[in-house]
Amino acid sequence: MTELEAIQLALRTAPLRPLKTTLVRCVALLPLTSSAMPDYLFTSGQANRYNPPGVRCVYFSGNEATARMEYARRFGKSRAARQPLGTYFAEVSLTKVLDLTDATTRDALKLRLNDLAVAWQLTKRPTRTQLLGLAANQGLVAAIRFPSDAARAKGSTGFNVVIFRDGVQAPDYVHILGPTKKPLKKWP
Amino acid sequence: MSNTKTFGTGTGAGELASLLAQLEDKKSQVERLLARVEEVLRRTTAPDRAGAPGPEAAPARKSPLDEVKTVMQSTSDLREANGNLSAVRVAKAYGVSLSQLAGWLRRTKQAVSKTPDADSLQEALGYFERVARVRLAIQGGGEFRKWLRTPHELLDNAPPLELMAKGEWRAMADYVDDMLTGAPT
Repeated sequence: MTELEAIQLALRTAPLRPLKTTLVRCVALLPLTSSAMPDYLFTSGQANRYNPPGVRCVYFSGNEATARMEYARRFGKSRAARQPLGTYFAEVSLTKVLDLTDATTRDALKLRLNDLAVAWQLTKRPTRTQLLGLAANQGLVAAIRFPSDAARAKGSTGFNVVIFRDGVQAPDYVHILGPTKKPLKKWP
Repeated sequence: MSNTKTFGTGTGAGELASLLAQLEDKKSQVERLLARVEEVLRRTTAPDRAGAPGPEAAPARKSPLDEVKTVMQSTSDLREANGNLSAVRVAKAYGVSLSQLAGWLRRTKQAVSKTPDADSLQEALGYFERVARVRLAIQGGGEFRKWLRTPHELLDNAPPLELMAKGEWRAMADYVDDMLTGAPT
Protein backbone atom coordinates (compact mmCIF):
# COMPACT_ATOMS: atom_id res chain seq x y z
CA MET A 1 0.00 0.00 0.00
CA THR A 2 1.38 3.42 -0.93
CA GLU A 3 1.56 6.25 1.58
CA LEU A 4 -1.25 8.04 -0.24
CA GLU A 5 -3.48 4.95 -0.13
CA ALA A 6 -2.79 4.55 3.59
CA ILE A 7 -3.79 8.17 4.18
CA GLN A 8 -6.94 7.75 2.05
CA LEU A 9 -7.90 4.72 4.13
CA ALA A 10 -7.27 6.50 7.43
CA LEU A 11 -9.24 9.50 6.23
CA ARG A 12 -12.43 7.43 5.93
CA THR A 13 -12.59 7.00 9.70
CA ALA A 14 -10.95 10.22 10.87
CA PRO A 15 -13.30 12.51 12.80
CA LEU A 16 -14.70 15.48 10.91
CA ARG A 17 -16.28 18.52 12.51
CA PRO A 18 -18.06 21.65 11.34
CA LEU A 19 -16.35 25.04 11.29
CA LYS A 20 -18.28 28.29 11.33
CA THR A 21 -16.01 31.23 11.87
CA THR A 22 -14.27 34.24 10.33
CA LEU A 23 -10.82 33.69 8.87
CA VAL A 24 -8.15 36.23 7.91
CA ARG A 25 -5.38 36.79 5.42
CA CYS A 26 -2.74 39.52 5.18
CA VAL A 27 -1.23 40.55 1.86
CA ALA A 28 1.24 43.23 0.81
CA LEU A 29 -0.97 46.12 -0.25
CA LEU A 30 0.64 46.88 -3.60
CA PRO A 31 0.00 43.55 -5.37
CA LEU A 32 -3.43 43.37 -3.71
CA THR A 33 -4.57 46.74 -5.05
CA SER A 34 -2.85 46.60 -8.41
CA SER A 35 -5.91 45.29 -10.20
CA ALA A 36 -9.37 46.82 -10.09
CA MET A 37 -10.92 43.88 -8.25
CA PRO A 38 -8.52 41.41 -6.65
CA ASP A 39 -9.52 37.76 -6.80
CA TYR A 40 -9.60 37.07 -3.09
CA LEU A 41 -10.30 33.38 -3.69
CA PHE A 42 -7.72 32.88 -6.42
CA THR A 43 -6.38 29.34 -6.50
CA SER A 44 -2.89 29.33 -7.93
CA GLY A 45 -2.47 25.57 -7.98
CA GLN A 46 0.97 26.08 -6.46
CA ALA A 47 2.19 23.69 -3.81
CA ASN A 48 1.83 24.70 -0.20
CA ARG A 49 1.94 22.93 3.14
CA TYR A 50 -1.32 21.00 2.59
CA ASN A 51 -1.43 20.63 -1.15
CA PRO A 52 0.83 19.36 -3.90
CA PRO A 53 0.77 21.34 -7.17
CA GLY A 54 -2.52 21.27 -9.04
CA VAL A 55 -4.92 21.22 -6.08
CA ARG A 56 -7.34 24.17 -6.08
CA CYS A 57 -7.42 25.60 -2.59
CA VAL A 58 -6.96 28.78 -0.54
CA TYR A 59 -5.28 29.36 2.80
CA PHE A 60 -6.41 31.60 5.64
CA SER A 61 -5.40 32.13 9.24
CA GLY A 62 -7.57 31.80 12.32
CA ASN A 63 -7.10 35.39 13.47
CA GLU A 64 -5.32 38.61 12.57
CA ALA A 65 -2.32 37.99 14.82
CA THR A 66 -1.62 34.65 13.14
CA ALA A 67 -2.18 36.08 9.66
CA ARG A 68 0.31 38.83 10.49
CA MET A 69 2.90 36.28 11.67
CA GLU A 70 2.42 34.18 8.54
CA TYR A 71 2.81 37.24 6.31
CA ALA A 72 5.86 38.56 8.11
CA ARG A 73 7.73 35.27 8.18
CA ARG A 74 8.92 35.40 4.58
CA PHE A 75 10.01 39.02 4.87
CA GLY A 76 12.12 38.33 7.94
CA LYS A 77 13.64 41.44 9.47
CA SER A 78 13.84 43.34 6.19
CA ARG A 79 12.44 46.84 5.91
CA ALA A 80 9.89 45.45 3.45
CA ALA A 81 8.14 43.69 6.32
CA ARG A 82 6.80 47.08 7.36
CA GLN A 83 5.34 48.15 4.03
CA PRO A 84 1.61 48.87 3.73
CA LEU A 85 -0.41 45.79 4.40
CA GLY A 86 -3.86 44.66 3.31
CA THR A 87 -6.09 42.44 5.45
CA TYR A 88 -9.25 40.68 4.32
CA PHE A 89 -11.71 38.39 6.02
CA ALA A 90 -13.60 35.27 4.98
CA GLU A 91 -16.76 34.16 6.72
CA VAL A 92 -16.92 30.40 6.39
CA SER A 93 -19.42 27.71 7.20
CA LEU A 94 -18.07 24.26 6.45
CA THR A 95 -19.48 20.94 7.60
CA LYS A 96 -16.62 18.54 6.97
CA VAL A 97 -13.41 19.87 8.43
CA LEU A 98 -10.42 17.84 9.49
CA ASP A 99 -9.00 19.42 12.62
CA LEU A 100 -5.31 18.61 13.02
CA THR A 101 -5.02 20.77 16.11
CA ASP A 102 -6.95 17.92 17.77
CA ALA A 103 -4.83 14.98 18.99
CA THR A 104 -7.59 12.42 18.30
CA THR A 105 -7.70 13.45 14.65
CA ARG A 106 -3.92 13.30 14.35
CA ASP A 107 -3.88 9.85 15.95
CA ALA A 108 -6.53 8.60 13.52
CA LEU A 109 -4.31 9.74 10.66
CA LYS A 110 -1.11 8.50 12.33
CA LEU A 111 0.33 11.99 12.20
CA ARG A 112 2.68 13.46 14.78
CA LEU A 113 2.99 17.16 15.50
CA ASN A 114 6.46 17.03 13.91
CA ASP A 115 4.91 15.86 10.63
CA LEU A 116 2.85 19.05 10.56
CA ALA A 117 5.89 21.29 10.93
CA VAL A 118 8.06 19.69 8.27
CA ALA A 119 9.68 22.07 5.75
CA TRP A 120 7.95 21.67 2.39
CA GLN A 121 9.37 24.46 0.26
CA LEU A 122 12.28 22.55 -1.26
CA THR A 123 11.10 18.95 -1.05
CA LYS A 124 11.40 16.80 -4.15
CA ARG A 125 8.58 14.44 -3.12
CA PRO A 126 5.22 15.41 -1.63
CA THR A 127 5.29 15.65 2.16
CA ARG A 128 2.81 13.73 4.31
CA THR A 129 0.75 16.88 4.79
CA GLN A 130 0.65 17.46 1.04
CA LEU A 131 -0.48 13.86 0.49
CA LEU A 132 -3.15 14.39 3.14
CA GLY A 133 -4.36 17.46 1.23
CA LEU A 134 -4.39 15.48 -1.99
CA ALA A 135 -6.48 12.73 -0.37
CA ALA A 136 -8.76 15.23 1.37
CA ASN A 137 -9.41 17.04 -1.89
CA GLN A 138 -11.13 13.98 -3.35
CA GLY A 139 -14.49 15.18 -2.09
CA LEU A 140 -14.26 13.84 1.46
CA VAL A 141 -13.28 17.02 3.20
CA ALA A 142 -13.94 20.74 2.67
CA ALA A 143 -11.03 22.04 4.72
CA ILE A 144 -8.16 21.20 7.04
CA ARG A 145 -7.52 23.20 10.19
CA PHE A 146 -3.90 23.00 11.22
CA PRO A 147 -1.43 24.63 13.63
CA SER A 148 0.36 27.69 12.28
CA ASP A 149 4.05 27.00 11.83
CA ALA A 150 4.80 30.73 11.79
CA ALA A 151 3.17 31.05 15.20
CA ARG A 152 5.09 28.02 16.47
CA ALA A 153 8.35 29.55 15.22
CA LYS A 154 7.52 32.69 17.21
CA GLY A 155 6.85 30.65 20.35
CA SER A 156 3.15 31.36 20.04
CA THR A 157 0.10 29.39 18.96
CA GLY A 158 -2.39 29.93 16.20
CA PHE A 159 -4.07 28.01 13.44
CA ASN A 160 -4.58 28.18 9.71
CA VAL A 161 -7.21 26.65 7.46
CA VAL A 162 -6.81 25.34 3.94
CA ILE A 163 -10.12 25.24 2.05
CA PHE A 164 -10.48 23.00 -1.00
CA ARG A 165 -12.50 24.51 -3.83
CA ASP A 166 -14.06 21.21 -4.88
CA GLY A 167 -14.99 20.37 -1.29
CA VAL A 168 -17.15 23.46 -0.74
CA GLN A 169 -20.69 22.54 -1.79
CA ALA A 170 -23.93 24.17 -0.60
CA PRO A 171 -24.97 24.61 2.14
CA ASP A 172 -21.28 25.15 2.89
CA TYR A 173 -19.92 28.54 1.90
CA VAL A 174 -16.93 30.84 1.91
CA HIS A 175 -17.75 34.55 1.71
CA ILE A 176 -15.17 37.30 1.41
CA LEU A 177 -16.54 40.12 3.50
CA GLY A 178 -17.08 43.50 1.87
CA PRO A 179 -18.67 46.80 2.88
CA THR A 180 -22.21 45.47 2.39
CA LYS A 181 -23.98 42.17 2.95
CA LYS A 182 -22.99 41.15 -0.53
CA PRO A 183 -19.74 39.18 -0.41
CA LEU A 184 -16.86 40.42 -2.55
CA LYS A 185 -16.30 36.86 -3.65
CA LYS A 186 -17.87 33.55 -2.69
CA TRP A 187 -17.71 29.78 -2.96
CA PRO A 188 -19.67 27.84 -4.18
CA MET B 1 68.57 29.36 -19.93
CA SER B 2 66.25 31.51 -22.00
CA ASN B 3 62.72 30.43 -22.97
CA THR B 4 62.59 32.96 -25.78
CA LYS B 5 62.07 31.48 -29.25
CA THR B 6 62.87 33.20 -32.49
CA PHE B 7 61.26 32.48 -35.82
CA GLY B 8 63.51 32.53 -38.80
CA THR B 9 63.07 31.58 -42.38
CA GLY B 10 63.34 28.19 -44.07
CA THR B 11 62.57 25.21 -41.88
CA GLY B 12 61.27 27.39 -39.03
CA ALA B 13 58.71 29.07 -41.27
CA GLY B 14 57.57 25.72 -42.63
CA GLU B 15 57.13 24.40 -39.11
CA LEU B 16 55.13 27.49 -38.16
CA ALA B 17 52.84 27.06 -41.17
CA SER B 18 52.32 23.45 -40.19
CA LEU B 19 51.54 24.40 -36.61
CA LEU B 20 49.08 27.07 -37.78
CA ALA B 21 47.35 24.53 -39.98
CA GLN B 22 47.10 22.14 -37.01
CA LEU B 23 45.74 24.98 -34.89
CA GLU B 24 43.05 25.69 -37.49
CA ASP B 25 42.12 22.00 -37.46
CA LYS B 26 41.92 21.93 -33.67
CA LYS B 27 39.87 25.15 -33.68
CA SER B 28 37.36 23.57 -36.07
CA GLN B 29 37.23 20.45 -33.89
CA VAL B 30 36.60 22.54 -30.75
CA GLU B 31 33.85 24.48 -32.53
CA ARG B 32 32.18 21.24 -33.62
CA LEU B 33 32.48 19.89 -30.09
CA LEU B 34 30.97 23.08 -28.64
CA ALA B 35 28.05 22.78 -31.04
CA ARG B 36 27.51 19.18 -29.88
CA VAL B 37 27.78 20.19 -26.22
CA GLU B 38 25.16 22.88 -26.85
CA GLU B 39 22.87 20.33 -28.47
CA VAL B 40 23.28 17.78 -25.66
CA LEU B 41 22.69 20.48 -23.02
CA ARG B 42 19.51 21.56 -24.81
CA ARG B 43 18.21 17.98 -24.77
CA THR B 44 19.22 17.49 -21.12
CA THR B 45 17.31 20.57 -19.99
CA ALA B 46 14.17 19.66 -21.93
CA PRO B 47 11.23 19.82 -19.51
CA ASP B 48 10.26 16.17 -19.87
CA ARG B 49 13.59 14.89 -18.61
CA ALA B 50 13.12 13.72 -15.03
CA GLY B 51 15.93 14.58 -12.70
CA ALA B 52 17.29 17.42 -14.75
CA PRO B 53 18.11 20.54 -12.76
CA GLY B 54 15.94 23.58 -13.21
CA PRO B 55 12.18 23.44 -13.34
CA GLU B 56 11.53 19.74 -13.14
CA ALA B 57 9.09 17.63 -15.10
CA ALA B 58 6.05 19.83 -15.70
CA PRO B 59 6.07 22.81 -18.03
CA ALA B 60 6.23 26.34 -16.62
CA ARG B 61 3.11 27.19 -14.70
CA LYS B 62 1.50 30.59 -14.65
CA SER B 63 1.81 32.74 -11.61
CA PRO B 64 -1.20 34.14 -9.74
CA LEU B 65 0.37 37.54 -10.35
CA ASP B 66 0.70 37.27 -14.13
CA GLU B 67 -2.45 39.27 -14.72
CA VAL B 68 -1.55 42.10 -12.40
CA LYS B 69 -0.31 44.98 -14.51
CA THR B 70 1.84 46.60 -11.84
CA VAL B 71 3.49 43.28 -11.07
CA MET B 72 4.32 42.76 -14.72
CA GLN B 73 5.62 46.32 -15.00
CA SER B 74 7.93 45.73 -12.05
CA THR B 75 10.13 43.53 -14.22
CA SER B 76 9.88 45.43 -17.50
CA ASP B 77 13.57 46.34 -17.15
CA LEU B 78 14.39 42.66 -17.75
CA ARG B 79 12.83 42.72 -21.20
CA GLU B 80 14.08 43.88 -24.57
CA ALA B 81 12.01 46.13 -26.83
CA ASN B 82 10.62 43.02 -28.55
CA GLY B 83 9.15 41.89 -25.23
CA ASN B 84 11.50 38.98 -24.70
CA LEU B 85 13.39 38.54 -21.46
CA SER B 86 17.10 39.15 -21.83
CA ALA B 87 19.76 37.05 -20.12
CA VAL B 88 22.07 40.08 -20.07
CA ARG B 89 19.47 42.15 -18.23
CA VAL B 90 18.63 39.30 -15.85
CA ALA B 91 22.32 38.78 -15.03
CA LYS B 92 22.71 42.50 -14.33
CA ALA B 93 19.64 42.61 -12.08
CA TYR B 94 20.84 39.56 -10.15
CA GLY B 95 24.39 40.91 -9.88
CA VAL B 96 25.95 37.86 -11.52
CA SER B 97 28.12 37.46 -14.59
CA LEU B 98 26.65 36.32 -17.88
CA SER B 99 28.88 33.21 -17.73
CA GLN B 100 27.41 32.33 -14.34
CA LEU B 101 23.86 32.76 -15.60
CA ALA B 102 24.64 30.84 -18.78
CA GLY B 103 25.96 27.97 -16.65
CA TRP B 104 22.74 27.93 -14.58
CA LEU B 105 20.73 27.90 -17.81
CA ARG B 106 22.93 25.07 -19.07
CA ARG B 107 24.05 27.03 -22.06
CA THR B 108 27.45 28.24 -23.17
CA LYS B 109 28.37 31.85 -22.57
CA GLN B 110 28.95 32.24 -26.31
CA ALA B 111 25.41 31.15 -27.14
CA VAL B 112 23.81 33.38 -24.51
CA SER B 113 25.98 36.37 -25.48
CA LYS B 114 25.07 35.94 -29.12
CA THR B 115 21.29 35.94 -28.53
CA PRO B 116 20.55 36.90 -24.92
CA ASP B 117 16.82 37.17 -25.64
CA ALA B 118 16.53 33.94 -27.63
CA ASP B 119 13.10 32.32 -27.65
CA SER B 120 14.67 29.10 -26.38
CA LEU B 121 15.70 30.92 -23.16
CA GLN B 122 12.31 32.45 -22.40
CA GLU B 123 10.81 29.65 -20.30
CA ALA B 124 13.87 29.43 -18.06
CA LEU B 125 14.27 33.20 -17.81
CA GLY B 126 10.58 33.41 -16.91
CA TYR B 127 11.38 31.87 -13.53
CA PHE B 128 14.09 34.46 -12.96
CA GLU B 129 11.57 37.15 -13.81
CA ARG B 130 9.05 35.76 -11.32
CA VAL B 131 11.69 35.81 -8.60
CA ALA B 132 12.63 39.38 -9.51
CA ARG B 133 9.03 40.42 -8.86
CA VAL B 134 9.97 40.43 -5.20
CA ARG B 135 11.29 43.92 -6.00
CA LEU B 136 7.67 45.03 -5.68
CA ALA B 137 8.02 44.40 -1.98
CA ILE B 138 11.76 44.97 -1.66
CA GLN B 139 12.33 48.26 -3.39
CA GLY B 140 15.57 48.98 -5.21
CA GLY B 141 18.04 46.86 -7.16
CA GLY B 142 20.58 46.92 -4.35
CA GLU B 143 18.04 45.67 -1.82
CA PHE B 144 17.02 42.93 -4.25
CA ARG B 145 20.61 41.74 -4.69
CA LYS B 146 21.05 41.84 -0.92
CA TRP B 147 17.85 39.80 -0.48
CA LEU B 148 19.12 37.26 -3.02
CA ARG B 149 22.26 36.74 -0.95
CA THR B 150 20.64 36.60 2.48
CA PRO B 151 19.85 33.18 4.03
CA HIS B 152 16.14 32.59 4.56
CA GLU B 153 14.72 30.50 7.36
CA LEU B 154 12.05 28.88 5.19
CA LEU B 155 14.59 27.93 2.54
CA ASP B 156 16.67 25.76 4.86
CA ASN B 157 18.70 28.89 5.62
CA ALA B 158 19.97 29.05 2.05
CA PRO B 159 20.17 32.34 0.16
CA PRO B 160 17.78 32.51 -2.83
CA LEU B 161 20.68 33.03 -5.23
CA GLU B 162 22.26 29.76 -4.14
CA LEU B 163 18.97 27.96 -4.82
CA MET B 164 18.65 29.57 -8.23
CA ALA B 165 22.17 28.40 -9.02
CA LYS B 166 21.14 24.87 -8.00
CA GLY B 167 18.18 24.95 -10.37
CA GLU B 168 15.43 25.39 -7.76
CA TRP B 169 13.78 27.92 -10.05
CA ARG B 170 10.19 26.84 -9.59
CA ALA B 171 10.47 26.57 -5.80
CA MET B 172 11.93 30.07 -5.65
CA ALA B 173 9.37 31.55 -8.05
CA ASP B 174 6.56 29.99 -6.01
CA TYR B 175 8.17 31.28 -2.83
CA VAL B 176 8.05 34.84 -4.16
CA ASP B 177 4.45 34.42 -5.33
CA ASP B 178 3.53 33.23 -1.84
CA MET B 179 5.41 36.14 -0.34
CA LEU B 180 3.53 38.66 -2.46
CA THR B 181 0.15 37.01 -1.99
CA GLY B 182 0.56 36.42 1.74
CA ALA B 183 0.04 32.65 1.61
CA PRO B 184 0.60 31.03 5.01
CA THR B 185 3.89 29.24 5.46
